[in-house]
Amino acid sequence: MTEYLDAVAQVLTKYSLVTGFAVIGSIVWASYYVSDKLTRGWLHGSSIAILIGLTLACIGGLTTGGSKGISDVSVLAGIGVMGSSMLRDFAIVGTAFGVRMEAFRKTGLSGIVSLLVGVFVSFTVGALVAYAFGYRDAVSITTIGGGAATFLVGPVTGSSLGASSEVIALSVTAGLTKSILVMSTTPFVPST
Amino acid sequence: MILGVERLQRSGKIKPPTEKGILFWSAIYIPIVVAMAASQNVLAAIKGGPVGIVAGLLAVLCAFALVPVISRFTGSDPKPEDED
Repeated sequence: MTEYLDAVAQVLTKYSLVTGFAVIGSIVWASYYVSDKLTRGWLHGSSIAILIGLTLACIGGLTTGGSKGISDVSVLAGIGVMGSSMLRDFAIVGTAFGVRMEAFRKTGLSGIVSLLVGVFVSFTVGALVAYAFGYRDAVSITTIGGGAATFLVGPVTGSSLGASSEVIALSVTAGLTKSILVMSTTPFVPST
Repeated sequence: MILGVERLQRSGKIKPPTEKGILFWSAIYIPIVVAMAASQNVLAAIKGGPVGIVAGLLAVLCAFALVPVISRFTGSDPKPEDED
C-alpha cells in the first residue's frame, strides 16, 4: 500500500504545477459552491477560497516548519509556482484587458470619486495601523497599506519592493478582512 | 491599455478565440491569488499580531463613513464600494 502511495506521490511531485492547478482549482470550485449554496452569494467565493488558501499556508507552516506555506510540502510545491509573481502579474494584465470602459461610465461620478477616495483612505489607514503596530520601514508600511486597499495590491507591492513573506501575508489578511466586511455589511450602510 | 482594447473591440479586430483567451486569464487570476495566499508565511503573520485584521477593519470603517459624504458631494445615487 505504501509503495502504491509513493508511486502516486512521485507522479504528483513530478508534475507539481499540474497538481497545484488541480488542488487550487478544486478549492476554488468548492469555495464558489459553498458561497452559492450555503451563503447564497452573501460571501463571495473568491474570499472563501483565499481564506482556505491562508489556512492551508498555516497548516503547511505548522507541519514543515518552512516559510513558504503549503508549497513547502513537496507534493504541493507546484502551488508555489502557480502563485509566483510571474504568473500573477500576467493574470493581472489579463484582467486589465477584460475591463470594459462601459462599466466605468455606468458607475458615473460617484463611482469614480468613491474608487479614488476609497483607495486613498484605505491605504492611509493601513499605513497608519502598520506604523502603530511598530512597523517602521517604508517597505512594510507601504505593503500593509496597499493590502488594506485591496488584497491583491498588497502582495504585488510587497513582492516588487522586496517585503518579507510575513508582511505580505499580513497585507493579504488586511485586504481579505476588508473584502469580507464590505461584502457582508454593505447592504446595511446608510447612504445619506 | 484599456483604451486600446476598447478601440480594437469597436473595430472588431479582436476575434472570439482571442476574447476567450483574455477571459481565461481574467478568470485564472483568482486561483493564482489563492495559490499565492497559500504559499505565504502565514504562521509568522499570525505571530506578528492582529495588524492585518485591524488595518482591514479600520479601512472599511473609514470608507463606510465616507459613503454619505461622497453621495452628497456628487449628488448621485451611491454605489456599493467594491474595488476587488
